[in-house]
Amino acid sequence: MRFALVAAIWLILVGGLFLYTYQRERRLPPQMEAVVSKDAPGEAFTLEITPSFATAADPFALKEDPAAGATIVVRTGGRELYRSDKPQQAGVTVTVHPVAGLVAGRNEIYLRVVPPLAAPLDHAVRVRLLQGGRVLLDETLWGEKGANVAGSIPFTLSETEDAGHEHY
Amino acid sequence: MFRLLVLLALTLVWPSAALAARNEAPRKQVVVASTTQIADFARQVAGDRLTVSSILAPGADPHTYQPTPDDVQIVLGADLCLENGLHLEGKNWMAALARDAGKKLVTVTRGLPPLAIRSSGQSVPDPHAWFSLTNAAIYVNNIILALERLDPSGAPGFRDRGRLYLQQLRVLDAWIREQVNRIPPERRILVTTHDAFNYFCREYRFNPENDYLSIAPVGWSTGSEVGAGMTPERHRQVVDSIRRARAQAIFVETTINPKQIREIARETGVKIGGELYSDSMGTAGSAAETYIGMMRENVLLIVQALQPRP
Repeated sequence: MRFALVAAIWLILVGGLFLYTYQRERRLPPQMEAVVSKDAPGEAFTLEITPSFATAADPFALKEDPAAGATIVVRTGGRELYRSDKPQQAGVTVTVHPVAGLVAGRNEIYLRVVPPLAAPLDHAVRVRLLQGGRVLLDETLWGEKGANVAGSIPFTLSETEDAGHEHY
Repeated sequence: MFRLLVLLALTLVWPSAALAARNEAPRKQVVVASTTQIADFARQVAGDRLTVSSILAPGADPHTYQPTPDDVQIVLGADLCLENGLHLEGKNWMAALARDAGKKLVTVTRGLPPLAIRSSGQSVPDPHAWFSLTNAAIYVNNIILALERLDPSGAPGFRDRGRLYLQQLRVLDAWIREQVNRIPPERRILVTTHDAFNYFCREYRFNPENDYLSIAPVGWSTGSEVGAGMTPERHRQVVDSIRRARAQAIFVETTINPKQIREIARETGVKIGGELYSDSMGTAGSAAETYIGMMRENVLLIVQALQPRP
């Protein structure tokens, strides 16, 4: 009898803890998961960045920063992946190939794209990650008018036998 | 026994004294700015690492200010002095204070492209550059560099705070553009007491008939420099501009006697739109006690006075 009681209490405590952590993890924003094809493990990644606006240098940049005059900055793994100091026209796609520094498991790409000061509308940047022509990631970052479009895109790269299966 | 007591006392006192000395906070370096705006920029960058103060109190006029013996003492205790330059500090009083005290002085408008104002046949640089947010970014960048030189080990913190503050200025700029857009272009006429708002008018497109420069009875300085003060000709030009442009309101300023502008308001039949912060921020505890607060309150007042009634 005592054993049954102990077992029941143990089940209630462990079960309650499990339910709590399950509910909590459900509320967390989903980590994007990109499945890399095992058929082409050596194929390099390509990053496409398409701003909806013409880019410009940021007069509010910290002048000492090496990327102070940049119109587009891309970083991953704490290192700069791409930087452009030239203004770009709206809708023009910037392609970064190959994308170095991505690893199996958790990754994060940080992006900052600078609009002109008097930009009259909210604006966006589309970011796509491809491998061998296959889209692994397709995300849009938004910025309010006048503000830089800046943000991080976390995602997971994992390998699988099923090359056509993708999760986001 | 006595020797034992002395030894005991020493073993108790000596570590306490050493501990007290170690725990005593190191003296913070002191930065003294001429104006409240520059002091605010410096404070945003320095955080609690440095002590920042300004010579001018809120509401004081930098053009006509005369330093006091207390100011001399303040500067003597400084490790670094900051000034606006471009002759904002009438007769270069801040430079004189720093020079006499043997203190390093940094002009925070260095590298900034000043607006040239033509007055009395001469071209003078307008010193009120902080009224353009992109210029304010130059002020902040110069201050960051100056503080890094003063306190190299504090540089990472200065840069991190600076980066954040610069982006806050960018957001403020976007907000101002959005607010000003509520005033139709034909009503975007800004008349103030003195010529402090040229950069603001140029940046946010006020006073198109006046080449996007401010309309004011008193020149760029309230002091006695070239192009400063009010003349009968200026008075007449301002009255004519107000009537021609059909200005909706004119504005007094916190640092200047409103008598002249009130006379012009009576003469033209135009209402007083409110009191703007021009050469100084507001008092501690007021909505305009910071640069961002000052700009925000000014813009809200201007928009409220000039936008069409619903």
